[in-house]
Amino acid sequence: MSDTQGQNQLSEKVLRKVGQLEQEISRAVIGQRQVIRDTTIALLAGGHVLVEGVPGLGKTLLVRSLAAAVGGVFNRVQFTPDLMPSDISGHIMFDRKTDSFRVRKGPVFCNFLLADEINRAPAKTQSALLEVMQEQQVTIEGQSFSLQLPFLVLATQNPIEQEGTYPLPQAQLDRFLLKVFIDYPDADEELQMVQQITGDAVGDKLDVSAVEEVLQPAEIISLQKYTAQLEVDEQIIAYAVRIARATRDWSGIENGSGPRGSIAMLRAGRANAVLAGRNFVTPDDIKAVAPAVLRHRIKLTADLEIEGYQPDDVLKDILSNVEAPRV
Amino acid sequence: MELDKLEISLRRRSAWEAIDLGFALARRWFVPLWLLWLTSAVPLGVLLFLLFNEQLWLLMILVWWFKPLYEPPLLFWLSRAVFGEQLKVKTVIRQWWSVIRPQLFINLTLRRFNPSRSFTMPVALLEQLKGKARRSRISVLGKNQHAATWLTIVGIHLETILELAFITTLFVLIPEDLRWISLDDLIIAPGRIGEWLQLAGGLLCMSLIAPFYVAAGFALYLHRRSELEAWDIEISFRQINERVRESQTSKSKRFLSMSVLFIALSGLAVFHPIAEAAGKLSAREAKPVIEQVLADDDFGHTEETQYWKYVGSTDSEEAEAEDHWFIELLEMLFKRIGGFFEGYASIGKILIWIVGISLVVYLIYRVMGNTQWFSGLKRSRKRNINTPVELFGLDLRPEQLPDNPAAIAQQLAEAGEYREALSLLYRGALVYLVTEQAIDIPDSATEGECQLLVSQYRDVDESEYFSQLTHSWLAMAYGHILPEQEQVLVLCQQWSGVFGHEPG
Repeated sequence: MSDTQGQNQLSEKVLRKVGQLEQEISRAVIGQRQVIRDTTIALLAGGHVLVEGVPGLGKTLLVRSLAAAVGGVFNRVQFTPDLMPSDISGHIMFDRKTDSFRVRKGPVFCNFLLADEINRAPAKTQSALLEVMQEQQVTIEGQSFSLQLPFLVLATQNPIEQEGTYPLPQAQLDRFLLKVFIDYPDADEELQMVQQITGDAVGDKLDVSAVEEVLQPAEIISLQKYTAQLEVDEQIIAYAVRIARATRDWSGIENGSGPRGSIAMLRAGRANAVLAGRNFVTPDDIKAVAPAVLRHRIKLTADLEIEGYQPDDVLKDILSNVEAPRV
Repeated sequence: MELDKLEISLRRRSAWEAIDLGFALARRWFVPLWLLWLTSAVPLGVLLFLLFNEQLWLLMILVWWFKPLYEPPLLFWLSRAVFGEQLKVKTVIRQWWSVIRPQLFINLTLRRFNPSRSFTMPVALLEQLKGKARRSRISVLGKNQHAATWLTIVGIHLETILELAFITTLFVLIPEDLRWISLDDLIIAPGRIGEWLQLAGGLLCMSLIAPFYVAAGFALYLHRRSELEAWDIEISFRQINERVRESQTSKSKRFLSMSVLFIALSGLAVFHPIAEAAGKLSAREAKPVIEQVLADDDFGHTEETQYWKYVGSTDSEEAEAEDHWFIELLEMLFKRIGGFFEGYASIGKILIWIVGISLVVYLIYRVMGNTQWFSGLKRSRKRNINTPVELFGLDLRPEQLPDNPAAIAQQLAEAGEYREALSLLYRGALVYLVTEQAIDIPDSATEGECQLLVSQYRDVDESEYFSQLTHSWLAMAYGHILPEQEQVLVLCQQWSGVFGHEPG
């Protein structure tokens, strides 16, 4: 059996489950299809997601549903100004009973971590989390502990109430594969959501009991490997690079995306192709993920910011001007 | 001309008062005058828009240039209205062509920058004078008359100020969040929307100023004629005559009328004999009577005065005689040059005709090219504007395709060259969509976006076929997956059925 045939077979086997994954999450999270799609892309690409949206739109529910559908461990950390790095990573404590030091692992030891309002914690604590995201291991008092894979961080930011926050520096934002906007659901979706949540429910506890486990963490890892090995034509790579480079020379952008932007586009593009049921990447995959990949990697000039332009406006311009691949 | 029907009161006025009178007329009859201006300007504006919708700056200049075309109907209406005959707008529109036609071409060319246009327009339009007669008439009317020029200068400034005010007001009313441009740029480098604003503002301001401009010019003309032809005195005579006639026929007011007659005969002794004599005396007989009347002290007296006047040096005649040969030489030279160019005038005339005909043909061509504006912005089947010659590295020029792409692609597929076969089919389909169906595909469009465009603008059969073709092409081009031969052959066979004929 050739490699291609092997890939095709794996694709058929797992793709069905990936499709189900999105469906299962949709059972608990009503609407928000793009957010679910982007989170799934990040999961397959082995990246992390920064979600921006006002409170109460189902961010926690989304991550819990994802954890339930994949059978992973879910943790949530509410970032506050007094949160310490050890509160996330864990620490060593002296156990009097055994007369020895033992490691108390922090909430970061999980598969799916919701870092709620990440910009409320000081830079030191943010850095601790971002280092974990990058290295996928935690060092406590000189001892290294590997995290259990898959590991996905979904960090949230609140676009309002900016007083007393610590905005993430550009270099650290770069570590998130995607930045996703979560918006209010439309009327029908909200109606359905309210009916579903208030029906036979005591209090406002999040209910993910409807979500069935469709994938095991081990299968996710094999899916991630499969995604990473997906064939990409040179023209596609050149297209991603062209887009990233265009952000550096574009009028209205003060700081463009670095090479990590091109890499992230390819990773996310591969995942998008897998979700579309293909075993090759097309220019459409790159174009589809480009806004989510690049919007937090570019900084607009003061003029445009004052005039109220968003990075998405400029990216739209770039994508409609950068030539599609020439085969 | 029935002066007694005049709606305005004639008296000696300064030119500025005459302009004021014109403004009062424009205010009184603003609505019909404004409508008349619009009825000329709007259709022409639409026609010019069809011709030059891509070059708004040119459109603006042309709309402004054709001002002398919009003004004659206003003058025509005013010339009737001041004599008590207020025509309906419809009536003037019916006579529109005959009203604007006199000397139209020359008004739009040589006389376009005539600063006293408002004042001289009645000579051509109402008195129907041409050539030398017109020139001599204008020289009489325009002697020491500069108010019309100032009227034009003030009008231009006022129009500019109004237009700037219009644009600034609109700009101020736009919420700050929605402003896409600064005020300076909006005026100096306006962009597409800015140009439209300037056009709208320009038209509005021109339409507001025009009634005042035409009415003021006409009032100046009336004032000058009444000054030269003593209309006010004639009207006074007529009124007196009327009153006298009435008093003679009214028995109940005999005494009163006798008094009036007495006053008229004694108080206006100067005028009455002339008025009476006009009907009885011949010109020769009237002359001594006039002299006799003028000899009266009431008409002034002769006075001799003395003053010094420089009459030049005595040797000037000699100098003139010396310079005489030079003047003769110049005269001869000009005569020769005139004779030389006379021969070429006929050639010039022919050239002007050729230029004129070419211009008309070009304008018709432009109108034909922009007729899609009439069809509700419906996509033109044959529109070739912005047709890309290359997309995704594929040459889209119809001449680069074989006559029957499907047959060639089939041969290639049978020879195992699937990539070339699919490329040809895909290219052929794009050429058909871009050139035949005028689907606008930008350079940045991916294959998926092309497919979306096809599903939006084409029927289900084309859309389904194009979707299959795109899928096969993508797998081949980016996935490097060789398709089944059967699958490619089916695509080749269906191609002609879907896209009908060879492209181009």
